[in-house]
Amino acid sequence: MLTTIREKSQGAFAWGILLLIGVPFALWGINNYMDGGKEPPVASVGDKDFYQRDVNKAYEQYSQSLRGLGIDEQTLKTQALQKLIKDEVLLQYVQARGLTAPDDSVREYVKSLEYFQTDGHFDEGKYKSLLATQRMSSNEFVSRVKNAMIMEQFQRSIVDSSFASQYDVESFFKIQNQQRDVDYLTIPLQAVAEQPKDEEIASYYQQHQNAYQTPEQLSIDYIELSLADMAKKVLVTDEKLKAFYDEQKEQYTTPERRKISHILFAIDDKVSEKAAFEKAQKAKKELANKEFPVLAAELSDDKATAKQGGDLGLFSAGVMEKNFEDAATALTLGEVSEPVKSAFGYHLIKVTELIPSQIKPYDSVKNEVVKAYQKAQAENGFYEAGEKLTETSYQNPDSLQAAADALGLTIKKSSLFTKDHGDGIAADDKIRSAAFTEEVLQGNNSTPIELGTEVLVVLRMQEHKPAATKDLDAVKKDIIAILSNEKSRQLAVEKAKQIKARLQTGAAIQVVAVENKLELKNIKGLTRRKADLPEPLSQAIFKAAKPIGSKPSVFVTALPSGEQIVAILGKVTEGSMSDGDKRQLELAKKNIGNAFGQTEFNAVLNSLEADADISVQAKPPQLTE
Amino acid sequence: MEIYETEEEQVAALKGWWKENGQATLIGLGLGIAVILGWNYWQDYRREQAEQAAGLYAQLLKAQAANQTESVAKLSEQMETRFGSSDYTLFSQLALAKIKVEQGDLASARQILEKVSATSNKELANIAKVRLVRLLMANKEYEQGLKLINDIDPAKSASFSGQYDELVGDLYVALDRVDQARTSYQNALRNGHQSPLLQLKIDDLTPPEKVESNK
Repeated sequence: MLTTIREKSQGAFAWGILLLIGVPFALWGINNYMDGGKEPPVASVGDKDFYQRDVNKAYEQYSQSLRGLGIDEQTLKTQALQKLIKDEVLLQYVQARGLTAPDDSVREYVKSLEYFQTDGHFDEGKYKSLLATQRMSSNEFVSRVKNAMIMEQFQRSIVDSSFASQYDVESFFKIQNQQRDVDYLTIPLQAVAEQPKDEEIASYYQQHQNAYQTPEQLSIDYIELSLADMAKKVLVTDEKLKAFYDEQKEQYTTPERRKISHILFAIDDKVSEKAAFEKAQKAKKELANKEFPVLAAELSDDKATAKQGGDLGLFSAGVMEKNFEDAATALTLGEVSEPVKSAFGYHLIKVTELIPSQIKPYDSVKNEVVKAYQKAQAENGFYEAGEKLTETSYQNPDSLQAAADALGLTIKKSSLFTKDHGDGIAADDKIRSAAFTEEVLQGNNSTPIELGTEVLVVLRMQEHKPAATKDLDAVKKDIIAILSNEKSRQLAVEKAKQIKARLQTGAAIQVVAVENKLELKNIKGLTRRKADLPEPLSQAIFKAAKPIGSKPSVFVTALPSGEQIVAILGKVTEGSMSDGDKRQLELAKKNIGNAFGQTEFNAVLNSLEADADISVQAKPPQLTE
Repeated sequence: MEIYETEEEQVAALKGWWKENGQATLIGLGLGIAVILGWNYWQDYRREQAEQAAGLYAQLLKAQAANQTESVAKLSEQMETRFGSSDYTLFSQLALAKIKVEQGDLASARQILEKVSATSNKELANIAKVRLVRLLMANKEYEQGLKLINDIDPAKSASFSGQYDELVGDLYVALDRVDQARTSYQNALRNGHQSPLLQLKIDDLTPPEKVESNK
């Protein structure tokens, strides 16, 4: 699309600062600005103090980029504080070293940010209002961006100037592409005939009490007020339905489908507005003899679409500039517009597919209309019923009967569930957490729980089973299985040890395989990247000691199943660059150089941190105070 | 303090004082103003210098990104003559060294890095040394590499010790002194220097197991 014409690049530090703008204000809201600076700082770097609100802000930004990775909140908070400190240390350093960024390049950068642009141009109004929502002055923002740019400049100075020599690249591939030959025997688990003794079972049970707990369980009675149920009871007449249909006609209209193509004549440093316009006019005339897609491929400056005959896909309102949109909607099928001006230049637009909007007849959508009508009618009553439910269930805390009678609902029952898991209504974690509240456990009705916007539930405890240890009899079977399995594993380990010792004293692996009726497998030229072996095995192969002289290198490794593998490492062949690697030599140099640079930069950061005057309050930072 | 009876007496006393001390007061005031102006001027001058150096450096980065090696060389020369004491000169030298390596001119790169490694800026000096060792290694001057690292003052390179340890390991591998290499790599790991490649290097040097002699 059109946006692909533009290119932008943003660095990590500047990006971090800009996330500020993206964070919804409500999250670290007004309080953070209102509470005065009387609280003690959480951390300080030199003269700069950081307060709880700074940490909260940093956490919000930091967690945005890492959310969903399953890192727990406390870790994230600690990391956010560390990052805050690291950044401050670096900032103070670059300032002390007299590094700076020219003001006009800072301004240029701010103006190039999409946040502040409308139709590809810097929009002063948008800029001011966005900053206002963050309660930040333009000066403050610009100086933050400037700081970020200086830090980034310093980082680039180190990372981008690092290099990898041919030697570095070759040593990398020596290891990376190394090949190893290996022969190995797999010792399977064999069933143990003899049953574990009762004392063994009892002692295992005693030692693993934690594993045999049944968690606290609850079952509940509940009543459910649902908009859908109420809607089903609304009476309908044809007359009312038709009136509703007429009112809501838009809902029953398929929108127009309009597909457009364009040819762009860009205005830039080299092409003036007038020249672009003339080019567009000339092209329009050429359309008399040439197909639109052919011409688009030849002339369009929107390179991304030119190859597809200028195709921009389905047109939807509100994406393009107004001029463009007006022209595109006015066209009939197959028609080509006059040159239309946008921020990018002049366009010729053509409609390549047009299916007009259509109203679905009443009879064909009657079922939908009934549903929508019933729902709309029920919505009014639902709110009132909700109030009534709240009131009666609160006034009669010892039973659901009163509320059920008042609203004509039936009391339903759930099966037992735990805090973490349940079926039916208890599959919803809102229900489970409401059921395990103090209030409900003491025998009262719960407050109404909203499931989505259309269901309200009030529940009370029916049966409560506290956490308990399972009886030995109930788990005996499991324990026997575990113990037997452990015994067979130990036998396999023992066997592997014996075989290993035999091999180390020089016995041929073929002979040992036959003796023990094991299958001998061998692999030649295994590389790190080719991983068609079970992971523990391929890892062990590349961790094994290399053979020295005629002494074989024998090692044992276990598979997750408990099977043991005894292996002999044969030849180790030093890696070299494959033809593919050679073709990508420049890329490899760049990547390895870059990795060196990152490591060096981290060392610089650590060095600065070690020299800086940093103090951190012992208590871990909290998100809310 | 003397007490003056009349206004005339006060005025006369003031005049007397002024006759004696006026000149000194004026000179003092003048000096004060000059110092303030001078300080402001100095600040402005320094900021201006920093901005100019930053501007020149931005040009150099652009030239580097566009692979215009000659421009980089020229700009870094300019930087050194105009802003010799600025960190920007060190950055430019580092960029130039990289270009020399890319052109295969290891000798020039080495000269440049040796110069940077003598700077009083501890961090950049260490970076230059790390890169120097890599150059020595590429040139098969392993012993020299070891010597260079050996001569480094540990107090001034604490945060870089992990990197130096890894380099020492690489040098020992090149010299086929496997046991020393392993120890160095393990030191690197202990010094908190973690990289996937370092782990591979350690795994590659697993020592052979001692086999029990009987059975």
